[in-house]
Amino acid sequence: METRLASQKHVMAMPVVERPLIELRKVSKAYNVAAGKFLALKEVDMQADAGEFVAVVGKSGSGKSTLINMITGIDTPTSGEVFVAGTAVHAMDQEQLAVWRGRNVGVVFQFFQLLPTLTVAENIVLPMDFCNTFPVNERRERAISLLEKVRIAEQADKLPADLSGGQQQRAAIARSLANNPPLIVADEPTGNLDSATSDAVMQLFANLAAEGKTVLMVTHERDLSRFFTRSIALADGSIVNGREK
Amino acid sequence: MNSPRWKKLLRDLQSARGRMAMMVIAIAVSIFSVGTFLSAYTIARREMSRNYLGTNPASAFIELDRVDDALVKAVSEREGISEAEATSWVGGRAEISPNEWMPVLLFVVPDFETSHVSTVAPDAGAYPPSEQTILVEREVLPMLDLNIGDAITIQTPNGTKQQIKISGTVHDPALAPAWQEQTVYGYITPATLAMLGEGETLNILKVIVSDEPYNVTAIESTVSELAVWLKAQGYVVHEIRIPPPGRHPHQSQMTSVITLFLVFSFMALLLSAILSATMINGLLVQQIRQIGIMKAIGARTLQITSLYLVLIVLLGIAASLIGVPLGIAAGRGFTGVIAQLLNLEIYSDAVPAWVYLVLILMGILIPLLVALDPILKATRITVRETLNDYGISRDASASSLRDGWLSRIRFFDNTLILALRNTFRRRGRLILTLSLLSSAGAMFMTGINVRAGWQAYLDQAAADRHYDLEIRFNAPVSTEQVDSLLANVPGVEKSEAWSLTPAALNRRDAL
Repeated sequence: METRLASQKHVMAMPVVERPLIELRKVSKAYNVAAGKFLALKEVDMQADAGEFVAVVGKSGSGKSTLINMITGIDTPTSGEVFVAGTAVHAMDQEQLAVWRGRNVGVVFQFFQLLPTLTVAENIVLPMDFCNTFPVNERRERAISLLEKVRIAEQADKLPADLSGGQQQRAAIARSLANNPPLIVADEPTGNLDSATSDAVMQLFANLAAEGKTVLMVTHERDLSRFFTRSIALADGSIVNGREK
Repeated sequence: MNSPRWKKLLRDLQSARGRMAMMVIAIAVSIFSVGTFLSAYTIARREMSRNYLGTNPASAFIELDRVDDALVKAVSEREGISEAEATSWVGGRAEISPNEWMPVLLFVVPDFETSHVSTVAPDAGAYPPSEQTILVEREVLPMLDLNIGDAITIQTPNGTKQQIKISGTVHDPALAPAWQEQTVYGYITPATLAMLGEGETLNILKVIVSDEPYNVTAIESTVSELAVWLKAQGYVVHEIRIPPPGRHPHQSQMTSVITLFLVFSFMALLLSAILSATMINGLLVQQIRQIGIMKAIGARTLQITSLYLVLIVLLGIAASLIGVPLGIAAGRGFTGVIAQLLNLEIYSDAVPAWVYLVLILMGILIPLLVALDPILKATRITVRETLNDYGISRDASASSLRDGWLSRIRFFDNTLILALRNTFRRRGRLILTLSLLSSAGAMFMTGINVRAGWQAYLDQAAADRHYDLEIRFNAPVSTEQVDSLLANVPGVEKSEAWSLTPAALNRRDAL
């Protein structure tokens, strides 16, 4: 199914490139706050290849979320360059970023952020609708297959509010896969889940990485380290170590 | 509508149905209000012209010492005059019950069949009236509780009390209703006038000018030349009246009243627009995070903007569907009231297509206009701004200044300071709320003031009159004689004698 869909011309195919899937070159981000200029990221260099499951760890305020916002195009760097799958993310405007992100990045949030008035299946169809990927009559079928993949297909026609936290996060992961992006970025996706559910969700991400997707995850939880192929530690806006497992 | 984004739109509408219903009602009420008065205005104005112009109104009424057939023929053949006719207006009184009289105004028509200047339309009964009978304006019968075939007692200045049979009714749209003026309007032939004790000689010449009949300057010029000619022919010109050409005598009153109502309607519209803006703003505040999520998963600004614009258009259409038909129906009803007040016949209550168009556009465009700015602001916000919770915002410095200022107020407790901070936190929302409240208050006060103004005017008019009863004599009487008679009437505190004499301005151009 994935192979057939990925071969369609309107779906951005996984690039066959020598360079890393994610590449940050001297990325800095400054915010103007009441006390003056606050440097959230300081000339960060970082790379991640296809199939890696990378943890971004660090204390609160260390720049973890800012770093992944640079990669997803949710925020733009003050200086430096961000390349994802060969695309210069830092050079795009908001409209280009929205289209690019919809097709190339699956975003998973800590609080799931499913739209409350849409059913689970409709939430998953929504990115396909916005990005006009996949034929209209195939979208629901794809949504159901993604829900099967995260093992909540039976919840497809329920509203998010009727699901448990773990089920909602699985639905959010399914949504992040809707347009078959090469990169999944998750910001503390297990922060709101119990440990058993966290493990199940982490296993899902690990499976995705094993299938060739790059998964970048911000987390506070050290006991999840067994799932990652690599972790990046941030402190005061700088990478303090990039540890391979 | 199978697309999830449109499903979201419909379900958002459902989930905020209270807010949406209030917005639709607010817009619908204002459309209803504007629709009522706009449609009433267009119908009444058209029908008023149709009624009045249907009488083939005279350009001028020239009161002479006498008007005979030869004069009418000579005037008709003059250059600049298209039509001329003779008539007379005779005042008198009608005894509506023993010793209770009401003013009568008799219009003398030499030939009802051929009359075609300032005509009246047959309504019921005989037309033309047979000799020694009278036609009355259609509103006279209900006012006096009479029927066709009944007799009415009339006395003219030179005649005695005479009973005269009512042979039919006519509609005279140039006159205010009889009940309003408390006057009996009668239409008789010269022979019937003679029977009532007056001479058969007519004294008013009705003329219609041929060139620019709706241009008052052109009419004045033609009538002035005619007056000079009439004087040269030995006629005495007592008075010339040139009514506003082509305009019903009460058109300006009607226009003033409906314009006043329309102004209030537009104020209601403004109020509903501000109310809508406040509600849309509130709705979008709730939707900000969802907008951010949609952008994060690939939605473009235009896609989200169109989603909310369609939502507003749907609300506008719903409001129009409620407000437009109700407004038009109420407008038609209101036109009926105007028709009764102004003695008009409504031949058609059709509302022009442009009124429908204006109302529908108002219903859709006004909420769109007020919603456009908040929608654009909300949908242009970046994903980070909608999702972040770092407490870092663009107006952080402004907030700090405000919060610092509030913190220095020592005698307020923290709850009050918190409430004040929240009040000033979103200036746009605060301005909208204040605008809504002040506009509503201003509108309410305007309504109360207009009502109070009218009441004060009427009270003043009543106070300035300084009397309870006015008695008019049909011939001059001695003041002393009347005063001595009244002195013996119980309950009469004071009396004052007046004399009324009609006069006309003598202009150089003979008008």
